[in-house]
Amino acid sequence: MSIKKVKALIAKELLVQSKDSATLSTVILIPLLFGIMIPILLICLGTDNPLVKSLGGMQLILNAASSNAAVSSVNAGSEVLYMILMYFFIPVFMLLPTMISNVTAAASFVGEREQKTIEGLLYTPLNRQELLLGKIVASFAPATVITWFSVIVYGIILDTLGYRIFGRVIFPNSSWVLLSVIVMPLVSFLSTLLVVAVSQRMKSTKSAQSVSLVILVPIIGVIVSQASSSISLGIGMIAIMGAVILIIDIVLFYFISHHFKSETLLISK
Amino acid sequence: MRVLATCSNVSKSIDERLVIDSVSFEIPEGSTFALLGPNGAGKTTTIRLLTGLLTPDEGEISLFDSKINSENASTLRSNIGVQNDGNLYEELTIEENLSIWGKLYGLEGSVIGKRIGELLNLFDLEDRKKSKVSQLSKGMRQKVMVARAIIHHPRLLILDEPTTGLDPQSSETLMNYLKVLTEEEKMTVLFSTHILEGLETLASHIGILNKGKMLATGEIPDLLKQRWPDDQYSISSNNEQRVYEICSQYGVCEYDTIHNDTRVVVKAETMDMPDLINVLVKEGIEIDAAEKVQRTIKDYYFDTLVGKSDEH
Repeated sequence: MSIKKVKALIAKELLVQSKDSATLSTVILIPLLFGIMIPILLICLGTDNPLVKSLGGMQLILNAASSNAAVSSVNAGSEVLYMILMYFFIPVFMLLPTMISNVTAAASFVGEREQKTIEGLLYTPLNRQELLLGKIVASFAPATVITWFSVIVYGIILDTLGYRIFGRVIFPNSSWVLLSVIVMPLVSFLSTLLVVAVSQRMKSTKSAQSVSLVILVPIIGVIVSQASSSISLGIGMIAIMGAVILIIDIVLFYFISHHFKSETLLISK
Repeated sequence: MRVLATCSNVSKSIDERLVIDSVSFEIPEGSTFALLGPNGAGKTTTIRLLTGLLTPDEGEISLFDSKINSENASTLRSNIGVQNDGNLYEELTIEENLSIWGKLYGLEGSVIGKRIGELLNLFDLEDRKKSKVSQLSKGMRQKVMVARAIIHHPRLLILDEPTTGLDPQSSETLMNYLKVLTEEEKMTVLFSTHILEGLETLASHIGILNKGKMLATGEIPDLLKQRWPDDQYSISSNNEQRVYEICSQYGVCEYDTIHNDTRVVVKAETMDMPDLINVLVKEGIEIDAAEKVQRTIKDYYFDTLVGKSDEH
């Protein structure tokens, strides 16, 4: 595998993405909405707002977490909002790179076929591994970087705007660091792989996104449910989760690259 | 002459339909090979097979002395440049499109910049370097696609219908550039085209595909000589039927099917032409023209396809 050619393909993909206003707007809007606007709204509404109060089952979770030192160390009355922002938002941020890379990855193969540019690319000396790796990295890497950036901005919002509510700096904790640094990119890579695999046989970008979402939802659901319960997970469990997803990523990449055929992209109807 | 590419008894079915049927041909190094045939004949599929994008069901394809397979296809493609009917990246500039291709073929940055300058100069596109492809005319796009295909100095340049959708002037301009590439850059060229007029000034070899079968292939003068070994004269007159009847009494003649039977072609070796003309004039036939037939690829193409396709 030639890293030089893969880099060239990644550079090409990023350049094309940067000129595509539809992709660009999705890539910017999703983190802006989920990562920044909603948290600001929640903090600005404070602890006494109907949304926080209306969350069913929150008291049960709160009772379960009452022994958690982090929860009990915030100002009295802010525990529910703390739980929402520090634990309920983990799945949201886990989904962010998946949602972004779903858009870019689907555009990557099916989009090129729709634009009739894929055949030209297949005529280049890229082999199937280089083509797949370049396309996948070009989809998942920007999604991950944008999500990391969103996490940092989210943390700043929590620690500045939320300081008067919680009485201390609450972000980040070990769960956020580990999940953001290790699990999030791996999940993003996994989702991108699945989208690419599906894309080979899809007619349009929209159908590729729809079908890949159907495949992704249960898989992401399992990961997210595990991540959500990270309040009870230790560092070891998160590391194990990361290792499992890493193995799945590697196995799936080799499986997909082995079964990838330019023929399918050219002649499938 | 050394052979650059060989197809031996290659067959390919797509969706259970036989698209390529036991096709064999050779592309000699330094040649300009024109792949001809009606729409749906299998020209694009042949190009895809030749470049390893499709795998043959039967037969073998060799490129640069190596039998092509899924493992070495990408390496072999580094010596090929392909212009196909696909698109360039619309939102990128000409320079960006060319630069991306240079990088994908492993060229160094400084080499890419120099090469882009050369190509823009060759195709008269210097002043459009920073123009987005979406702002270009069809003719300019075709030029950029050819420029993109040759940025890495390929040994084999493949052009799939390079003149499709072009007006006659743009088409001729592009074909002239192609002549420059073959003569000055010494590339071996394989191109498929519908334009038959004047093809003999550009192509050295042809292959005629129809319904997935290679009906004829070889060097143009050889093919013409084989098909029409004897000198022939064409007689146009006000009474083709009478001319035919008289000519038949003196030697071998036939209606010219290529020109919708509006002329009679006679084999010069079978009769004395001045005597024949005298006889025809004495019979009261008004002769418009009697000329030596100069056979062309166009004649050869239609003569080959007669009865084999209803598309021409």
